[in-house]
Amino acid sequence: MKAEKHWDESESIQLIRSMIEASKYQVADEKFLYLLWGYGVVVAGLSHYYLQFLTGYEYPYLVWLLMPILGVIHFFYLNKKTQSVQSNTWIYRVLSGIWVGMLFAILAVVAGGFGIGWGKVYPVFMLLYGTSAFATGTALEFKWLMLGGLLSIILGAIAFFFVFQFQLLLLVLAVLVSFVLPAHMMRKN
Amino acid sequence: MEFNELDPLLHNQLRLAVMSILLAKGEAEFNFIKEKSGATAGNLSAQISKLKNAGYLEVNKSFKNNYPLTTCKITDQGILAFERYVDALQSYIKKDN
Repeated sequence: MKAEKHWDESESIQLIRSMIEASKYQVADEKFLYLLWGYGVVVAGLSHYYLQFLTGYEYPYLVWLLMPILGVIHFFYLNKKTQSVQSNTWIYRVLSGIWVGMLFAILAVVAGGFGIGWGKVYPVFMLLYGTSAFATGTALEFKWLMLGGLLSIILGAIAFFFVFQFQLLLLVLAVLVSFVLPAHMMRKN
Repeated sequence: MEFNELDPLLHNQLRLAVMSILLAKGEAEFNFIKEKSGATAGNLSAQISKLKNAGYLEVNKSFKNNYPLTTCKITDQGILAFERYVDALQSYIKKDN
């Protein structure tokens, strides 16, 4: 900040505006996490499809063990980032609530999958991805996340009417539109 | 149009920058404010003390990963003062027009 000088009202307004702008939450700061999970689920989903339906491998679901690994990367990334971050704002709390809530819901659905069968729970994953993306997009007024979230919800609804083989492909598509595409559209202001 | 006096405590570049950041963030670490305002640590510290003494913000000193951590949080009184300051600015600008 420069030394004090003649200081008028319009400069005050300009300063307030620039500081508020500089302090705004930027969705682009989280781009890495959207890409990490987006491409992670795409790779796992396509690998699962390939192993189960094209090669007949006995344990195709093992590819989902990639998810806890991504969880560890996510944890270390966030932990490192939080050391340099700086604030506890309303928007951070809202987004934490949405995504931590989604994580618990996903874990609950995974638990349910062991009981009622995976063919019945994959559409629910899509609904959860979609709801979280849509809520985040709405909170941040970021149209790509809103649109991707909405599409993911629609794909989730459609997936209820398909067998598991096609649900896997729909899941990949849902993640592409709700995570990967919005992440690529994120730009720093 | 009523012509309000500008709060001298806020009518200062760095103090106004600090208050603007805190108004946007609610709460922020000292280093974040320093980075965004471009101020030196010494000057920032002095201005934060003045704002704290006026009751416009609260300063909390703690430790994070064994490093000292200073966070500032805007108070209700600070928000009110900021709103009054902006109202006063508007009255000046309208008067000029």
